[in-house]
Amino acid sequence: MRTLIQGGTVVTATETVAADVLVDGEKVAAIGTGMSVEPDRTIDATGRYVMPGAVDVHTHMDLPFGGSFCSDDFATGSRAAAFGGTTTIVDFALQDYGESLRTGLDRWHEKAQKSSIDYGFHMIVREVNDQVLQEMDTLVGEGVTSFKLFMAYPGVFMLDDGAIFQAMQRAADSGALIMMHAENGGPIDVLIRQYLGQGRTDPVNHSLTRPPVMEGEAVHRVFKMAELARAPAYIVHLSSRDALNEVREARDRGVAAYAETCPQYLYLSIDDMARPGFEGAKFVCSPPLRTVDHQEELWKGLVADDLQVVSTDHAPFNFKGQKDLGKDDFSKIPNGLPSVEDRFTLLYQGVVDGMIGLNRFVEIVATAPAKMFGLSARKGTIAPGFDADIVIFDPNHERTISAETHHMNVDYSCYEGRRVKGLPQIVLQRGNVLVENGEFFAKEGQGSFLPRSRIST
Amino acid sequence: MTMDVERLRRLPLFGELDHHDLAMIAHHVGEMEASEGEVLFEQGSIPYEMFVIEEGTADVTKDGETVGRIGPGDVVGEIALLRFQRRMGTVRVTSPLRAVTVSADELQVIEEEMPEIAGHLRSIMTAREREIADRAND
Repeated sequence: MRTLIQGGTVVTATETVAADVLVDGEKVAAIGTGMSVEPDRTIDATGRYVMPGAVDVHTHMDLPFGGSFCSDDFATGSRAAAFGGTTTIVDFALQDYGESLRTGLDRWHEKAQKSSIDYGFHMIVREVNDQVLQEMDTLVGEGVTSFKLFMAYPGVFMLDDGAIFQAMQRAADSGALIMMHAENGGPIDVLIRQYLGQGRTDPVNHSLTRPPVMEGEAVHRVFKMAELARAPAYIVHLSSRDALNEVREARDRGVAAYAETCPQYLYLSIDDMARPGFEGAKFVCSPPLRTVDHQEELWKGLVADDLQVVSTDHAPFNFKGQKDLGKDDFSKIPNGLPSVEDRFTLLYQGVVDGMIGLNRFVEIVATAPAKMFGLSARKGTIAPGFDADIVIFDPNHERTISAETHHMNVDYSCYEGRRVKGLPQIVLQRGNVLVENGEFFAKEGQGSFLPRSRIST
Repeated sequence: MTMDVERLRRLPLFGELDHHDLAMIAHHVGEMEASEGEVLFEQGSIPYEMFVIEEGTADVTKDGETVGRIGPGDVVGEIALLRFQRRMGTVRVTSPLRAVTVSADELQVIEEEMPEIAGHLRSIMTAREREIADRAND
């Protein structure tokens, strides 16, 4: 089957060019004008951008939490992602207590059978021992080439510096990337206990007990250890100026230091967490939302490439029935926000507002994450031989974000009522139409597992 | 309120202490009751107290897997408290339960004023951690 996408403006990380795109089977066959082909189908892209399908390297579908699960599984979450222009996700497989990494990973393979879009996995490592270190090598061989560690949540996820350092050395040897949740969990938990002891139970206290200085401290430690281990390291969901400055400093020193931020840190703030009543719970995630002044700094970081990627950290919990577990105690509010569907359009507002350029936008949402995480042979750009994962984006469409109209399986939107420009109107994966004009055409489970290459930062 | 010393003496954790020590401890403990199905604490939560069970039973689960059953005389919740960690497991009551509680603040006082009792608690904790680790390696 051959599809010709005609009359649009092709936008990649490096060029913006008026051209047609020929898709043959699952791959992009050619880009150019005046191609003399007889396609089976022609898509008119006049007045629209033809962009690579976005790659979201930080999602948590079907994440277990306190005996239940977050509200999107791979079926609903991948469908919402497709509506938002995202055609590839990399989700975090989780090892349960006492399990091997293998068992945890196998469970994620099982869960992801329902995905409508292509997917890969990172592996969360909760403890480091000889068996785990050996398994890391095995997983790298299977295309799981990145491992997430935690410096927060002592007793649950937090690893000590020795364990982190060992994992970094092992990752460097095997060509894997260490991803770090960088917040110093010890002092944070002391603050939480003290705040609750003083009766400060409202959602906003979630942010006040996790101050930026403890994120900056942890990021600093990550890159010092990475330098010693001669390993690249990647900070997930970077939220603050303090943390960004540590990334800048490390990069200036020549460390292979990388970081992502998320739309919530660019567009939302602690003011949202302080909304009246319990509404602030909708915005509880970790690291927490910061004061507004951090946002501008993060945008600067994106422009200067000190932040290379924007991912979502999509982990939706319903306001009624899940977030309200923490009605009397902010530390019991499930952490996470829904946004897998919103990322592409939200980031595009950065183009509309003049914060980033159009090509940089494509680089941040598609090209850089694909390259960073070993997918750059197939994903992240529009070029002959690449998977035909394509978004036909109408930049002039105006709409209002709302839980009434979004496709994520969650009863609220963090961006409720926000006017945005742009709509991923037609979304293709490997040549197949997933979404067209608000209709979903993909079958549950048609996504494929993507073994990823070793990391070559 | 000061707890009856005889009530404490019946519990293995405190049983070896003399009357004077027990009388001291009695100032620093509380009590609680819980019915079947109630949760004493959840995995991942911030700890506030430890429990010494007098009557009743409870299941300990971790990531949804049952990792232990506890009953009269057992101590639970001390690891997170003593190590400044979050709760490593969830404890759900399986039959009507009565327990002596020691809060984080009171434990601090005990650590300072009665270090030998604090030491005893730490040895119980170590034994329990080893037990849990052994089970995980089975």
